[in-house]
Amino acid sequence: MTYIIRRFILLFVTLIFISVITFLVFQILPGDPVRTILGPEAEEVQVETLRRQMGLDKPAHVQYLNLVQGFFQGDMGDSIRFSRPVTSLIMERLPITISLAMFSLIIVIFVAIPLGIFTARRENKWSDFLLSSFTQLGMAIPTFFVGMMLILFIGMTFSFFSTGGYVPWSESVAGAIGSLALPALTIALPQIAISFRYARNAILEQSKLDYVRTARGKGLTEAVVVYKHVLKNSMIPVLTVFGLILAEVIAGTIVVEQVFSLPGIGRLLITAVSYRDFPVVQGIVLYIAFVVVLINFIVDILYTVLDPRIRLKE
Amino acid sequence: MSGRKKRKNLNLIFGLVILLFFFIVMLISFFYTPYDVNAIAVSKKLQAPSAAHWFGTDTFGRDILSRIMAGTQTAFFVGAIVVTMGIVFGTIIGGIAGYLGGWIDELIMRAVDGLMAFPGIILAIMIVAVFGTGIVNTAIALGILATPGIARIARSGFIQNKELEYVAAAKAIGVHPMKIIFREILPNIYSPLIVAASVAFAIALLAEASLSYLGLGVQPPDPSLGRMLKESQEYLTSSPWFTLAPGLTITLLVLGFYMLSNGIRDLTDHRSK
Repeated sequence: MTYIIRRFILLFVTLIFISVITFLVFQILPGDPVRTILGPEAEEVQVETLRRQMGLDKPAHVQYLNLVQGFFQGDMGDSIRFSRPVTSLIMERLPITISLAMFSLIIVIFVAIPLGIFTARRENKWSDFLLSSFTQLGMAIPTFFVGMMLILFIGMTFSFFSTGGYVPWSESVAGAIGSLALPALTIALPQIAISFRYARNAILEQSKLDYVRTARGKGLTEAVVVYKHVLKNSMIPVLTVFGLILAEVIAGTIVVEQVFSLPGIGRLLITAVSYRDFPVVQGIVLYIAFVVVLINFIVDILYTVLDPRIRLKE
Repeated sequence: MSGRKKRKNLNLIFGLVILLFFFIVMLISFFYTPYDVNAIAVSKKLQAPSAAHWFGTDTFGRDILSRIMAGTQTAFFVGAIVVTMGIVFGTIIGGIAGYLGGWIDELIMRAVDGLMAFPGIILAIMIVAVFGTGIVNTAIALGILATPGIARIARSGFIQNKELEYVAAAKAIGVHPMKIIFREILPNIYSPLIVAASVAFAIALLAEASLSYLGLGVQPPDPSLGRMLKESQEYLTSSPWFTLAPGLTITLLVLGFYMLSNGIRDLTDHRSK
């Protein structure tokens, strides 16, 4: 219990830190955001009025508290470019990014774990080198290059897969899957190359323990030993890795949405940067960082719930 | 056991060969490229690879091989700045935190955690959004990104070493703490730091390529491999070599640094046993 409380305090501190960093970075922004919005022709009165409306006339600590309050109330100010609330711009695009991230995560889990089991049962020195090269390649290849290769080799051959643009789920389920499959695979492939090794190592480590020998000794079939005993115990460390992977997947959507022209959060972020639409940038950065920190927190807690040893060590 | 030994050497050898190759290519590109890097020849645009243009030409008829050679300059330049920043600041921050301990350590490590909580690309995008794009800002943004990870590694090295006899001896004869950190302990933790530097280089190359691909990194006329990929995307099916050549170059370069880091790690692990 003390662990969970300590972890909770840590979560709180990290969130404060993230919000302070984001706030400070946008404080040192060169130029006056109000004049950027109104243009050089604006009159002094207009500038002052808008400044007061945006709360920029207040001292920095009040502005910071307003930012935090706005964050939880879903009010992150208005986009300079669209003159609309940042949060509603984000909400509109959220389903695309979430679908993409979930799709990728599902691919990673359903490929990486079986691959880990498969390779763990065939351990020798040559497969070791080949597999570690595969992992290194997965870490080295830029995701957008993976995406372009998938477009080139799969998207161009099979018309089911869309190579750009998005079809909403409500319009056509097959269309949505077709438009998300390649981008999801793009994000998933490098993550599979990295994560299957965690599953493999966890299984190999468990396989060397006494209880596995006992299980084999009492005549259980190999399948029961692996799938019932080993797998159950080796999935706990793997779980934390999937927390990290989900964070990577969310970050991955930003680049991959560009490759496949998916109108999600990532694309909104990139265009906002080009248009110097800072409220949008700030809002997206804060929400993504918040979600990632929260995921890691939840994974940590799950880890303790599933593995009593961590709880009892305290 | 012999299998393990073989693997160690392979990573180190492949890593070094790849990096040496690209390093030489980069050095050559300062004095010689087959064609002028920015010479536009619209009549020769999007040509397939040939004896005259090994990797073909791009949308403006520029020689892709020459542009890749020049792109390695940008890659090594950004990587070098990032790693230098990361190692210098990371070691100072990690050294102070690890050696002094107590509330200073707590404060610094919470800040490090906070920075590492941001997904790397998000933090990088935020920094270039505020400070602007371009080769130098990209390098600085990525340098800030590299620092907390290296600080964490440096810190654990300092914590492991600060209780050892040689540090106690230095303390006993009244050596200044800063001198103990940098003159006594630092030389003893160089191997994890070299591994970290090599990994940081790999990550920096990938991040530069991603930012430049998004249009937020290196700006023209500076050549960048990531930007070349962005420029090539429209012609992916008609001129795949335009994408393949710079894409494979980035992949190989990054792979070289990852292999080098694994090679060094295995080598030094072996030694410590």
